[in-house]
Amino acid sequence: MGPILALTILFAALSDAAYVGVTGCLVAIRWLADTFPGTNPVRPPSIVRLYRASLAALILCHIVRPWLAAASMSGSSGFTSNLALIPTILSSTHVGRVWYVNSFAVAALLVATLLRMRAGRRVADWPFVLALILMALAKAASGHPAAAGDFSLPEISMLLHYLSIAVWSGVIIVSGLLILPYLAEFSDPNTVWRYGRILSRTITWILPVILLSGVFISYRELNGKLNGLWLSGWGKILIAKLILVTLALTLGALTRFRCVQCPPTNRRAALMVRLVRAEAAVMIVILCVSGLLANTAPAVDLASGRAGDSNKAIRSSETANVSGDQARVRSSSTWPLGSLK
Amino acid sequence: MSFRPFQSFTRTPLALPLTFVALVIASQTAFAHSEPVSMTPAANAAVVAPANVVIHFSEELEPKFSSMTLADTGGKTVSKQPSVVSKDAKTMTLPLPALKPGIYTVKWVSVAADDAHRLEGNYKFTVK
Repeated sequence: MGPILALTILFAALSDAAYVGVTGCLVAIRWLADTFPGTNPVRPPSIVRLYRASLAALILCHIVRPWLAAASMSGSSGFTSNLALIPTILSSTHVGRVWYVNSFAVAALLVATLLRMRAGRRVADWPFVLALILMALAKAASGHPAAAGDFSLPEISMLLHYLSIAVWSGVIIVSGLLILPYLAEFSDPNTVWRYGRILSRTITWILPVILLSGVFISYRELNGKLNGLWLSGWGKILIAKLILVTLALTLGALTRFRCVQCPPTNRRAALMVRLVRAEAAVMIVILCVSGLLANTAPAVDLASGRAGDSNKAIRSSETANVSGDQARVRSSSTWPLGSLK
Repeated sequence: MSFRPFQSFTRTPLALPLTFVALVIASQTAFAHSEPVSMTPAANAAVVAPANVVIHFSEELEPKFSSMTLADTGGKTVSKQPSVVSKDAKTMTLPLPALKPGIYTVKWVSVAADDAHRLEGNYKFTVK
């Protein structure tokens, strides 16, 4: 793996983690306000620190993005030469156009955050929501689904998937590791129960979006051939992810039926904290598996899809060579017979 | 408050850093590549001197960063004009001068428009 690819993956991962962190914190803070109507909510100081750190990471990743794009496009790691390419990238490439959309989103999120720090709840929620949607749109427009065209069904599906996954994973991780243990320690079982009820209800509404968009995206990546699930490495990782998602859903269902739908008691509040914490742990593993999945060649390459056809074209030549940092990432399944440099 | 089941966990200084590290590992980067679908002249083909080299790619190219050149057996670049990307952004054409008989190498660079990922490759053909 070359240094540019390593840096690109590092910043993409940091950006994803920051996006999940910001989304989870914003939703959890809103739920805390709903849990304590009319009063100042009890909330762990660490959630504000996590939000600020996530926002700072998002801004850093956004600033670095054009240079990384220049390095990826030029194949050079020279700092100044790539710096000189940034105006060209920002003025005449798809990556540049997406960067402007993300700039607006980051600026809106920063301004809304600063205003809320001064004016509190008088600042509406919609600028935050708009910023998160635009960021997800920029991300969806920067990946594989964007090849189908701007605002195409695959791109919109990916947008919905990013948004719903960020809310689900972000809020479960933040609630399971920060909020619920804190409420359990510094509040009462009734408060834990009220927060848990909001959590459970909201996720119930989000789940259909996650499942429908996930099924559509996976089916498309499988090129409509389900045998790719067990014949390809990509499919096997997807099966592992589905098992983990089922485990997370089971923990969520247990929270709902064993805790939320029963009267609050100390024992049930403790059980809820334990279940959501376990779900948070599973969620972290799901995000790791998703990252692995995203970095593995889709099963379409093994079926009769377009990428598979190109492999045939490459393999048909004894002397054809393909190289590139990204090629190495996918070399195991995309060019199994090719002569990678 | 009578129960404190996770006090020790939330006060563990490693809890959040570990979460962060795990999330960092979980990169969501999906790599798209614009790969050759067909090439004219084809790889290893023996042909009469062609006027152009044309490669069709699997995904849209970023025209300013995608290119193609032709070199002779000595490695000297023989193409005089720059390659051109078509309107649909999936086809790249390299106009050629009159070629003498011999073995030539096409070197191509594709940069996927959607995520800026770069791929390089080369193949040979023979002019009879």
